[in-house]
Amino acid sequence: MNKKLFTIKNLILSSALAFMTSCSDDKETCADCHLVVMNADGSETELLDLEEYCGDALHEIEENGYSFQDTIYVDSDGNTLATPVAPGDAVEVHCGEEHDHDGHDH
Amino acid sequence: MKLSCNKKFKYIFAKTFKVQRKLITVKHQKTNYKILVAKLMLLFLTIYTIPLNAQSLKVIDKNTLGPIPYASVELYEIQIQSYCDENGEYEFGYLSNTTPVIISANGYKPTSFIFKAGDTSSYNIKLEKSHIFLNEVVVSPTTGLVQKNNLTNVTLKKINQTDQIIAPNLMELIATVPGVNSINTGSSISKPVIRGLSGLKVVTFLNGLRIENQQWANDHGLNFTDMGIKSVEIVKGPSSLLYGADALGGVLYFTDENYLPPNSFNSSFETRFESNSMSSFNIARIKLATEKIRFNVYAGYKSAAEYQIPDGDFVKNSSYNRKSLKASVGYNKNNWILNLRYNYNSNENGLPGHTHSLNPSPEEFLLEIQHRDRILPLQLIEDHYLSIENKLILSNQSVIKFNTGFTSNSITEFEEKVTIPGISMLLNNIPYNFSYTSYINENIKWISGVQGMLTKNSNDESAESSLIPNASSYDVGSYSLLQYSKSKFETQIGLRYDIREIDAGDLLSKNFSKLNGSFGLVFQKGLYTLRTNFSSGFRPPHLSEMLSYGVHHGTNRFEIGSQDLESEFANQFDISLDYGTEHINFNINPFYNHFQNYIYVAPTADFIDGYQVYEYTQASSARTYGGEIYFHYHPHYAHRLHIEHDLSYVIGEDNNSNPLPLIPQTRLNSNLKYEFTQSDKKFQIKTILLQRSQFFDKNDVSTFETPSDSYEIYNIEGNFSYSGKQKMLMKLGVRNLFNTTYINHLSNLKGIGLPSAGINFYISINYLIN
Repeated sequence: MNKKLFTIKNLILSSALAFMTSCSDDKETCADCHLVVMNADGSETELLDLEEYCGDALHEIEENGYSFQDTIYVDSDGNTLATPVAPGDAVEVHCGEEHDHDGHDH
Repeated sequence: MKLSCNKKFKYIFAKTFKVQRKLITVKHQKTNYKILVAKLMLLFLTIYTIPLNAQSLKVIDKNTLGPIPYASVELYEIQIQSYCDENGEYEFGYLSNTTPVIISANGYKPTSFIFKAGDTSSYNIKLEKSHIFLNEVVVSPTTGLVQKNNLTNVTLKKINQTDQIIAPNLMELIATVPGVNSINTGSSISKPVIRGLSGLKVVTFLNGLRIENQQWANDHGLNFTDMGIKSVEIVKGPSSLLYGADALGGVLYFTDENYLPPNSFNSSFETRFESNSMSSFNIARIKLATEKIRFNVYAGYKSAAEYQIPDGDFVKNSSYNRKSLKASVGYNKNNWILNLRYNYNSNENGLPGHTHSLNPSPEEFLLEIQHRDRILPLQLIEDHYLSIENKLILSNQSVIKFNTGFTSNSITEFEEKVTIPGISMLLNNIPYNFSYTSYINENIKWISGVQGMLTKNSNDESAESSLIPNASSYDVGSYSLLQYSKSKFETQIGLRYDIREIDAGDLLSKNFSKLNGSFGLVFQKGLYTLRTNFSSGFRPPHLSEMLSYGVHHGTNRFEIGSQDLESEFANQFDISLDYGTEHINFNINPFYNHFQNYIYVAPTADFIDGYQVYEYTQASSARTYGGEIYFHYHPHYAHRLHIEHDLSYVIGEDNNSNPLPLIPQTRLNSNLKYEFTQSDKKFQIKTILLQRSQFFDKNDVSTFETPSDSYEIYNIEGNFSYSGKQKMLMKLGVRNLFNTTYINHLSNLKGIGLPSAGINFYISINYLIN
């Protein structure tokens, strides 16, 4: 076999090997968040659609939660809550669960 | 430079003769007697030199006595795989260690012999034509015994074979072995099930290194790929004697591919594509061997989008990425053999089926558009495996082995938050195994050793919760095994004593210990081989079973452990009968496995934080029983056709005869293989395979399971080769050929009614660079 060709092929293979094991660069993480209340039966009710958060702001809201001033009487779809949620009640911020804009429409 | 035996002889002779001629020319006119002495000396040197370099073998056909070109030669102890030349000849003058040598060739019955250190003989190996290789000659990586002489019930499956239907993951490849199934979460997460037992009851080894990967959870799967794996040895049933505590259900023992023979090099690049999940898997391999040191290096990257079910929708969040790197170095000097191996795997698995609905419908988890990006919940797993294998072969053929290493398994699961993990655990493990094998006489072999491990689990404090606490455990076991073989009869008896200490600080500190044993015998008469084995095993309760207290999102339940749990014990009786002729092979293998203190997790009527509470408890006794039947028919009138069937059947019951959970459906596998005649054409069809798997109804289910329907799936694959300037091996196939909708009883997505993948076209091209 042509020695030059042999070297080139192995160079390509080594590059492929290096590429496959290389690290990817870190991009800033962004996610849509929403405020939920956990029901006693394990289900959750979405109270508010929050905006998209990125980077440190995302970490901040996930770590410290979302504070609101007024009692919430309806969920994010406009349905009346059986039990209104007042400031200080146990609520959670959930982020990053859904694919955007293409949920199933069955 | 590689020369056949004859060529090498001629080379040495020619070289010597040339030197002689030169001497004669120079000295001729002086004294004749000096020339005579020089001639004699050179003749002596020639004679002396040839045997040292003449360790060679020639593989010939037993009937025609003609050479068998390119027969495979495997030097087991130093893990070298090589091939004879076109004359069926091979030289192993470099071999200085005692080792089994396995000779095989396509269309012939494989054979083996023991090469002894210092032996300078040449070997004439006669292979007998055969069409069925049920009892293929393979050496058990754990006992060093040739497979046909193994006294325990062991199945060895070769991986990465050219005539093997490609599967989405490693466990799916193995799950075609009778008695073996897998628990799947989509196509990314897959766990082994041996005769109905799984999780903590099955132990996995990779090149002798015990793999600990938080296997207590159904969503913590086998984390490495088939890249660079040569074979897996599957031990069915309790196997504490050789593998230590926990191996109640069985053992998977993976072994890496062999090295190349000295002074050789090859490399390849393989790419696989699957249409269903639009997945690509690229693997680069480099193998290099110098006179003393051998290297194998692999790198792989797999990316899969969400998989498609038969009705055309895609299962949300079932995509995954996988990165792997693997390197091994082999070295031998005199009677010492060293292997260093490192294996890195990094997986990003989407966790499909996540819900907060009380009565979820499958539609909630389906999408019309396929994605490859990550959403929550997400599982990130990173594993590092480092192993050091030392082998010292003494002059009396006794072998001292010392294997140790380090494994690190990091699991981080993001559940409801993107930047704060729900759980994040790091499990480090240092296993070790010291063994001494000696021969009391030619019939009796004695193996004894000490084996153990030091394991430490720690939780990342930044995670929202910790399911199991920070804790460490220490295992040590001592075993001794006696094997007697004479003519057609072999027997083995062994005992082992194990101790495990678990320390979770103020929460728990406990010791467990147990004596285990194994007894087996093999008797061969004519075409029949009878193998019986009795073995026992024990498993102390795991941290997760004693100290869990929290939500496990992978299973959507609140789990509570119990510190009152005692060790589980298992005793299995297994009997296997083989019958083999030139055209038929038949094997029947019933078993009965009895457990004491069987540990399981049971649902309660309580809810905490909205999750149903599951508590770990134990039944005073339980049993699994059933068996496997294998049949291989090779019609005399169609020598290129192979028909195989196997049936796997297992029942699991507790002490009240209630069915145990997660017992697989009865399965009938059928395989049809046609091998094409090979010619000198550049492009050739090698084999066509048709595989049918039929799973029967499952109605004997545990209290909180639902019955499963029967189904059958068909897979087809063609294997091709191209041998132009560059060689290529290709596979083209279809899995789930008829796009059948099915849900396996062991699928983690069964509860929400999500079926497995629909029709899946795939192609694999392996480009052999030289």
